[in-house]
Amino acid sequence: MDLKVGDGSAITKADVNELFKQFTLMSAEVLVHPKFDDESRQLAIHQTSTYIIVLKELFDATATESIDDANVGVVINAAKYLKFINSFVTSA
Amino acid sequence: MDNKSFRQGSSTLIQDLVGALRTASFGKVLLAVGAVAGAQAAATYMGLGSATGSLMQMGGFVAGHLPAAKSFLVEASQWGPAASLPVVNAIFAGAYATIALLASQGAVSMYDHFRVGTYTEAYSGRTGLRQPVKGGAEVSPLLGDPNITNDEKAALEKIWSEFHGGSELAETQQLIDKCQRRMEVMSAQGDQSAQYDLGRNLLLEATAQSLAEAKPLLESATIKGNAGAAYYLSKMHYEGLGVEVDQAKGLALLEMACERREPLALLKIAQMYETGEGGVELDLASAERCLERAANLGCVSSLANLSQVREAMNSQGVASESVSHLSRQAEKNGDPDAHFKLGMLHYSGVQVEKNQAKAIQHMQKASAMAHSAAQNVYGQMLLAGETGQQDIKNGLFMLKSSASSFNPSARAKLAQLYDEVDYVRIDAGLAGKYKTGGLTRVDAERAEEYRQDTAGAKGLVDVMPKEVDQKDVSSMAAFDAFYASNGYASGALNQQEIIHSADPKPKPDGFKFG
Repeated sequence: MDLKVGDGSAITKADVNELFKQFTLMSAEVLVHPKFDDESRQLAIHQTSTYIIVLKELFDATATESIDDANVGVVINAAKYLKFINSFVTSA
Repeated sequence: MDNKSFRQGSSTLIQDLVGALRTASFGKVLLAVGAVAGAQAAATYMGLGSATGSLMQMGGFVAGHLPAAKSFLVEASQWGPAASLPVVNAIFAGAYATIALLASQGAVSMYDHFRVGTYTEAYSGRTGLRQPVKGGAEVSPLLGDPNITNDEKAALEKIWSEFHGGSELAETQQLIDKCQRRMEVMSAQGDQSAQYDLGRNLLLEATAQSLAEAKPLLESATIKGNAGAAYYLSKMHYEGLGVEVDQAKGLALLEMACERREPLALLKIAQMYETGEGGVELDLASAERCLERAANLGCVSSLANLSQVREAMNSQGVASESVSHLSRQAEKNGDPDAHFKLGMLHYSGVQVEKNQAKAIQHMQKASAMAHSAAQNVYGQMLLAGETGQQDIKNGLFMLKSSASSFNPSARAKLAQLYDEVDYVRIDAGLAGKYKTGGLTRVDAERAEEYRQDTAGAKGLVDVMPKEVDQKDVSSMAAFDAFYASNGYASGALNQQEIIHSADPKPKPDGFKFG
């Protein structure tokens, strides 16, 4: 059954994979976007790398279609970070 | 949003990630080990500069992944004394190592391999961070690389067109909403992690309604043993957030959170020891202990405080327990890492009185035990004459030994030497090799090859010092013994053999990247 977003259904491995892809795309942006000063860029590079590592670890550790509920906190945090970076680079 | 706000928000989110990892069901063992190794080193080295500090914090950040934590730590340990390198190179060296790690594990797609190249290019200083604007958009430096193939170029351009599309934002928000709903379901089912997450978010919203909703969630999670919930509940009572101020209850909950190893609670207690807040007796040693514990749990915020507390201890003549511990480790157990750390502390004057002689002594001992970072530092000290007399031959030997263990600082220094310095034969090929480490166009296979590279042994072939008495090897007796014990012939230090032997020898045991 294809559940709607936000209906309380479990977070899937596909969700994690999609998030992972977005992070890898974002990593290129972090490297060159002019909005970052040097200090922010170094922070963003390292933190983005960290999220990529963590998501990869989560993906590999998930043997079923849905991820363990204990890991939802990690996913939401990663999604928030992605959104946060996007907000930063698109802000005036 | 300005850069300062970005850094603040970013640090908060990454701290939350560390918290989320602590309750996650994957990588728990790695988390524990990585957190201890990472943050302890971070705490030890704090104060050696912002780039160093930032890199070291990563040891705690990536606590969920031990190899990554180790690689960050190795990176981080290099940059303290390497002040001559531009900070930006230090930064990219860290990213470079991380992405190389990802590549070596097959954790990145083909697209990301190009990014490894991008990082490497930036690291090597051969290109700038960004290229001139093309068609109104930033383009990757790699697009200007004459060696890039059409397929690679097409893939790289695809990355840019995809990312600049902006469609990912809506999808990300959908995922956040989905996670939020899922946590609400889990919370209703009594899941303490979800109750904690929701409760904390409501508390941070700080409206009358959100505070009222946060309290029962945090109470429920606290009863079930959640450390973070106990901390935030203590904050509510201590500060009177949505409830009457009750400092005694707040302190009792804070103590409970500390017993449950909540880093933020340790940070708060440390602050009380440091300032006497809440009637707590001033005690810098206890503050240091709490901050170290917090740092060991991956608490980034504790690092700056730890540095301040140690400065205060230093000025007041209060002995730092961490230095005493390191001294015991070094003297009784002959721990090379302890020697290295003590060397760094004496070199920089952090936590202890600055003492060049002691710094050299510790670095020499750690180097003789194949500590890669120490070999790098000691090698650079020898070359710079910081040991009293410039020693080019032994300095190069140390750097090459260090480079054989994937030490980016040693590689960068060697690249610089082969590029510019007159006492080493100028060799653009070798300089390029050390700059890029063979990773300019990397893939998993190349990354693995790089890790296996016994460049230190191979590189010895290229040593051509012009001003060194080649018969003088007496000062290398300790290293002779070391290399002999690691399968090297004792004659490995004979200059003729160094120059002519082309057989790579197995590198000594020590840190192995990844």
